[in-house]
Amino acid sequence: MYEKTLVLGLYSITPVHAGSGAELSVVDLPIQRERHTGFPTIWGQSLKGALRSAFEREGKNKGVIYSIFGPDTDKASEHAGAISVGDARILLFPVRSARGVFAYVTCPMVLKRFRRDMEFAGRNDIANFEVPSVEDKEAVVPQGSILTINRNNETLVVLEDLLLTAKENELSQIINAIEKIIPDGVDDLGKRLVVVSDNVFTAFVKFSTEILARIAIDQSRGTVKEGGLWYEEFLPADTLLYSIIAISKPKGGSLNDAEAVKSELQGFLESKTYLQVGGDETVGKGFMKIKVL
Amino acid sequence: MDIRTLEQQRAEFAYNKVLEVSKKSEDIQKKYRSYVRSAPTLILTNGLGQTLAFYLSKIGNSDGNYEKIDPGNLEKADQKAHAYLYKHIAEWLDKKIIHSENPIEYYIRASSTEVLMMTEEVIALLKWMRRFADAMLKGDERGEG
Repeated sequence: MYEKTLVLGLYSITPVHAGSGAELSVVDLPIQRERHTGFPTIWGQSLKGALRSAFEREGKNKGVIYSIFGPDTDKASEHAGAISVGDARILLFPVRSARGVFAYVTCPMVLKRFRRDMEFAGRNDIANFEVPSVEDKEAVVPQGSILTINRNNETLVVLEDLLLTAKENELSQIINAIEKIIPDGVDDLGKRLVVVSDNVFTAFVKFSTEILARIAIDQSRGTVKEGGLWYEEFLPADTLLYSIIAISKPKGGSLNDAEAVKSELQGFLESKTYLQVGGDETVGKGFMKIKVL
Repeated sequence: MDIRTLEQQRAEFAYNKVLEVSKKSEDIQKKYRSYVRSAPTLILTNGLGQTLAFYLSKIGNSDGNYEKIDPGNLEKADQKAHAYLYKHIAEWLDKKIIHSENPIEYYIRASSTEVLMMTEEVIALLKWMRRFADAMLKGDERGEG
């Protein structure tokens, strides 16, 4: 059984394409999403692969890698790795705002899941916040928000094309909880946070991801190759996700107990601060700032 | 009562419309296919209202009567293809959500939650349109695969 856990905060600093490959969507290359909610996600297997490749690129000791992640593919049947990497779940999604440039948007359902997941990880210090309720036409913002607009005695928040009525609320508990998993250098959460209804949040994560057209050029003609135009979906920069890594006693390799695995992993991730996840690395995509605790 | 799933109804509608276009000239088929492929990206990036207005500008119907666009009366293949696509989207919205023949006029008056519903419905329809257009229409030799 799992003896230890680590919580991983992932903040995208460039657009991320963790591709699904199996979905028929309106774009050619959609991103991974949860089936039942439609929320963007990064599957545990993708994340584990990204972590392993970061370890291997750093030239880490093979015995340590085998203990944590399991043996190389050709020897996969020998023993399993000591960690179980959970799917990265969305916590904050960036949305264009008429005032304050952009907002970090979240919703009650996402916050409740975050609380439940932190309880599962044994982090009751993070899971101690109240979740506000919010109607479809409302936006809950903390005092001092830079997103609000006053018009005809009404306070509004305009996100993408949606006009929402602003409701000020004490969100400091939530801000404190989220700040614990935000990587260093992201310090404007309190000014940009907004809680919208589950429905509105769903619409944003479905319709406000980045869609880019990409082409391949036929060098002999200088024009687009046959079949060389495709549309690709990205999770935008400034998205915050989190994942839980559960750690058990190693079954092979050179590490002896879960504590050793935890400290190797934590030490490595703390030294890294950046992780490359998903496709399109060579066109600058998939860079995430990480925090581990 | 119609007990088929919404997806089946969208598929039927998209299939019939694309089948209709497949009987037009090769030029119109190529253009229509390419516009259908880029439509979701246009909508997701610029919004439904902007996209519909863009199609109208491409159709260039100077008498301003957007309820009675007749692709047959237009001159160029790209005008016709845009007109077909606009009409198909408008017809589906009329049927399923807005019960009005003029989506632009409806869009202007709609609440933001209604706009979300319209957008969601058009995207869901375009998923089918794209599949059928890829399968049934002539494609451009270069570019769109």
